Amino acid sequence: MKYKKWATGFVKGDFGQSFSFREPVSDLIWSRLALSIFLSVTALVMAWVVAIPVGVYSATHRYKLADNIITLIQFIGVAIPEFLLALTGLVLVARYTDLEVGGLNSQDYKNAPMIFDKMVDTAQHLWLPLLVIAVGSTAWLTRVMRANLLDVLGQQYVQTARAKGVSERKVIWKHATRNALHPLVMTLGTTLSVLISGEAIVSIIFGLPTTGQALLETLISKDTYVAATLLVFLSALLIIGNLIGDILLAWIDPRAKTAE
Amino acid sequence: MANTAEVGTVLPPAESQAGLVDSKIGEIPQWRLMARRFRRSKLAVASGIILILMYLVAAFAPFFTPTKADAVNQDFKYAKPSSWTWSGGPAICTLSQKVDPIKIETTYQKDCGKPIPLDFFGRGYKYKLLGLFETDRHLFTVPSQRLLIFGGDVNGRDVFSRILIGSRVSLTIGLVGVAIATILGSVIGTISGYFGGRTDNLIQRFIEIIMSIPTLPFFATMAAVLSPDMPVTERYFLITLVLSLVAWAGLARQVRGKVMAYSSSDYIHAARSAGSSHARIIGAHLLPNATSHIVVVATLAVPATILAETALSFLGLGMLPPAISWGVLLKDASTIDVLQQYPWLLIPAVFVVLAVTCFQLLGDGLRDAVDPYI
Repeated sequence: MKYKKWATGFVKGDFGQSFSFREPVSDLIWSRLALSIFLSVTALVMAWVVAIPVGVYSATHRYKLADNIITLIQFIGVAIPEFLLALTGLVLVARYTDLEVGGLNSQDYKNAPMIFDKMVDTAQHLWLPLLVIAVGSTAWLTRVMRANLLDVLGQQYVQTARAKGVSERKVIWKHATRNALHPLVMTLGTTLSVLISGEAIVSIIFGLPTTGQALLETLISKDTYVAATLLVFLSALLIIGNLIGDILLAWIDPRAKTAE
Repeated sequence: MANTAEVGTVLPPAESQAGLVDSKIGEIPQWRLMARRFRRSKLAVASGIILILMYLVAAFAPFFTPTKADAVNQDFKYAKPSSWTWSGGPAICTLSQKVDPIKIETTYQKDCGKPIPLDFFGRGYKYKLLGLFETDRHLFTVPSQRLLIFGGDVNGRDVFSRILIGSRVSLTIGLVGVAIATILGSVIGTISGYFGGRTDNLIQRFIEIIMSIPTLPFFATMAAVLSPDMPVTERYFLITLVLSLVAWAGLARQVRGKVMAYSSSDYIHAARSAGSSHARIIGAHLLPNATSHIVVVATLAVPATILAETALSFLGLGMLPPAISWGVLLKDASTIDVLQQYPWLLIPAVFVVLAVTCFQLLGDGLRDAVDPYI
């Protein structure tokens, strides 16, 4: 019965009342959602920007020393839980620099308007969480990229391109890499899911006001309406991400459009 | 070992000739080919050995622990890892606690002039080995004081002993969770892939719904429903169930793909036209073919489950004290002040990373081994 009331209200934009924050859920969510989207998308871009060139390098220098080192780092990068990385990062930064970490802003800027100084301050607080969120996905995407490119490099059209005298650089970047990107785009949804999970746990450690952090906190304090709403929003975020992935795929690979 | 040099080929000539002498066709069972290919990957073999060792230690954990994992002793509150010396064998230095009554600070004074030698196979606390034989022998103990290889925690409990005992929960929860998920995923995936049509459509849409919820928040939501004051064993099984309820979806997808690919192949058509029942086609033809694939996917799913348990317990939503798991131990190290002063509380993380990396390398090696086209 309660669920029905909440579900009908949800469609109208009324998400119910938070027990612990003592305010309507809708007030709580929007700013947090913005920060979550910002963190996830930026981490995604960071992961791609690093993973593609490194993956290509790793694949073209297969079994060389550099490739082996990259592979080892990848495995460790995937194996280290995000919260551990976040904790280690916090300790290192606190010990070796005098930057203030944790939270979104320093005390001085908490209630200040959004001016340039505050943005710098925010950036100082966000770079470490972003880095931590991006590491795992970067490692994994590099691995995917390497495997894809190795597959593609064995194809006949790459041989053909080489045989007709196309420069090696052009073979790799224009002929091979472009085709190796498809699986990367296809896994956009999975990557985003990983990033959202990572964002949640990292925000808790850094004390960032994001959706994931709010979700986990409200779950612990049994604040049902907030938790349910946040879960719906996170899922929506993921579905939108999947949709964008599909559209992107159709754009870079016209074959996907005609299939079925 | 001469044969293993050419395991890449389907039939090494030496073997097939030996087979001819026996007037039979040279034949190597599929699983032996796989075993050979697997042995080629040194990293995977090493990971497998490390994992076996870890599980053995977990099984005989009380034997390897010098102190009872939940034995509180305020004399060793946040005590540093014991310093080692030599005194007719490995020994530790004595540690004495000083409490500053004004600042309420505890400091420790170590004295290596009076070393305490390690007592191998000495007597310690009583326990039941494998739950069967009662004994009080331990691999090493100290006659007095407390052996703190990895230091002490807030209540002076031995972090080393707690890690070993905690490994029982952390290492098995991944295996049991994935086992349940594998059974669920295989059954549902096979049904979906084999029967196709509307059943397939329904199951796939359901899987998509499950997969559209971000993993960690989903785990957390389900775990949050559990009452915090249920007994440890009950909670263990429910958390395992939660982990498997999320993990099966991905497995089912993979199995469905394989089953679909096989069920349109000629030999399945042949079996069908010969009048085989559905049960026979699935049991005798499809599943054996998909087994190796399922094993690989399951192995690769274990690390994710271990990490999920650790993360959940770390957040206070998974296993809860008095249960001990790596995540529960790491929860003690969740604030920056504690970490800076008592960095040894982070040691359980090393074991998490080791276990997860080994499972990943093992899964990678297995995947290469079962796929004959690499």
